[in-house]
Amino acid sequence: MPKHLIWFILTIACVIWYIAITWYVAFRGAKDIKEMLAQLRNKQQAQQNEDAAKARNVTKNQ
Amino acid sequence: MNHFTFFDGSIVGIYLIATMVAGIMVRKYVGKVEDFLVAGREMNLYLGIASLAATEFGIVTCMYTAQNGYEKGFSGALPGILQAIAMLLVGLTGFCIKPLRNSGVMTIPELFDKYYGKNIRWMSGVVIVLGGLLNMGVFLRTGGDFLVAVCGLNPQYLEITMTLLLVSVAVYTILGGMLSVLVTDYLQFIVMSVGLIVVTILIIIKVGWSTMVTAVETHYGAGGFNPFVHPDMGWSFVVFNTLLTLSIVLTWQTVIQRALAAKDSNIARKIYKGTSFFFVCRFLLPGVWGIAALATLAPETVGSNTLLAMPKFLSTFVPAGLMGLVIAAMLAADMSTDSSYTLTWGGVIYNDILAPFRKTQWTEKRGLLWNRMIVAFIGIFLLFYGLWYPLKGDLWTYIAITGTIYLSSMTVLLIACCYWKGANNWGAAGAIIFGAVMPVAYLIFEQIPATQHLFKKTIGSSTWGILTFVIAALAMVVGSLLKPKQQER
Repeated sequence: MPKHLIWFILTIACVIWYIAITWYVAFRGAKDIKEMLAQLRNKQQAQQNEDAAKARNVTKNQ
Repeated sequence: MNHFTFFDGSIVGIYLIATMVAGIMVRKYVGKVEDFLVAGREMNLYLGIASLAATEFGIVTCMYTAQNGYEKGFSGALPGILQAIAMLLVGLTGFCIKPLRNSGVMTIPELFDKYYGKNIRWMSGVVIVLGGLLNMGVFLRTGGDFLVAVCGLNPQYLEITMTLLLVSVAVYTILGGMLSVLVTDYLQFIVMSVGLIVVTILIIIKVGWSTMVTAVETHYGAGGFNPFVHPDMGWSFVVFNTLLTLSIVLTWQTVIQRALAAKDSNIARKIYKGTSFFFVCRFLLPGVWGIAALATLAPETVGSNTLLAMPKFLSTFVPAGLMGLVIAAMLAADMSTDSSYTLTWGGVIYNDILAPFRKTQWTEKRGLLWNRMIVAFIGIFLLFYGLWYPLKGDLWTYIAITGTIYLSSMTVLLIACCYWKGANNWGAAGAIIFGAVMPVAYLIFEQIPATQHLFKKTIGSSTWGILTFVIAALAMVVGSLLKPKQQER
């Protein structure tokens, strides 16, 4: 049995946790980036449409 | 002899180009100040975990945590364990971060404006930026020292190498703001993690657990495994670090920025819970690197500067081919920290310090321009202050003091405004003043021969640190109670 078992367990837990979280986050994080950029693209599109509608109304009123 | 070869250099080069391209590509999504500072609040859980972990692990972190391992053995990992507990508890309960995220603010001082008024917002912004920038001022040189020791970089090229690195970080941060930071953080998290894991496994296999344990036993005895019996640690160290790590979790701007960029307070809490154990790894894994240096290097090889023990160890331990990955990992750690720190302190300057000067609502275009100019200005400051201006004196004391100048007061202000209706601007001003004066007073008194023994030996930095938190809290309570009722907002 390794000496100072608690530190040994904690060190091994860190390595295992780190491998698992890196693997998991590598896949899920990429998905999050795609979703985030898609949301921002939609927001920008909506803003542009809103601005265009406002511009059309101004022209119409003139 | 170090093991850095042309092949390793190619790995580092490819990594740097990939990061730059990814960081610059997302600039087109930045249309508003909110996109620039908090990524339009569209950050989800896993990206948040990657970003927070990458930001909170820089070369400077790796150097100090490894130094802790070298000087204190396994007990040196205690601050990481305490921070993990604090992160988990805050994540589970939503303590402070739930009301903070729900308030819809972009920075902590903005929240203080609602409770304590504009003056306190401005004062908070000033101490946060002062503490943060001075703290960050030493990152670049420490990163350079690491590169010199590990890959045998000629010290005369240190300034120019680190300048080029800073410029590349500044380019994508200025163009893409938080969006670029998040995307590059993601890449950097993966590269950094792979490097950290591979080297740690290699150390455990090649150096061996029993060799490292024996080295700690020989040098530090029981204190190397139990922080309560370590001569430089003990109860006051544990209590002070408990307070310090809780205050970092609650108010360190780069940590809080992730909570504020999250989609909602539930995602923010999940990010805290999901990242909590990372803080044990953040201290323990580089700590193991430091312990390996203690076990394998002769004291004359390390010299008087134990900060360089770990890089010196890596330069001979890591084989060629893997060395490129290690350097890329450390550069990743440094770049993610630099980009995030410049952006978050820049955000506080724009949002809180410049707020009184914006008499009318600025257009998004103007706001973005100012934010970009501030990030560029911070980059220039870092370059001259941190790299071209050589720091005198002890680095650790410098980092600890610059950080604690605002951590105690901001924590007290945040807890009070979230949970105590009686808190007001008198108490807040008192907490900010005492929270800043106490650490500076310690630095001065420990230098004066007449008071040196009293402060360094009799009281000690940890007890003084605890006192700082207690006095900041007392100042908040006493100041708030002293203010006449008719003057309250």
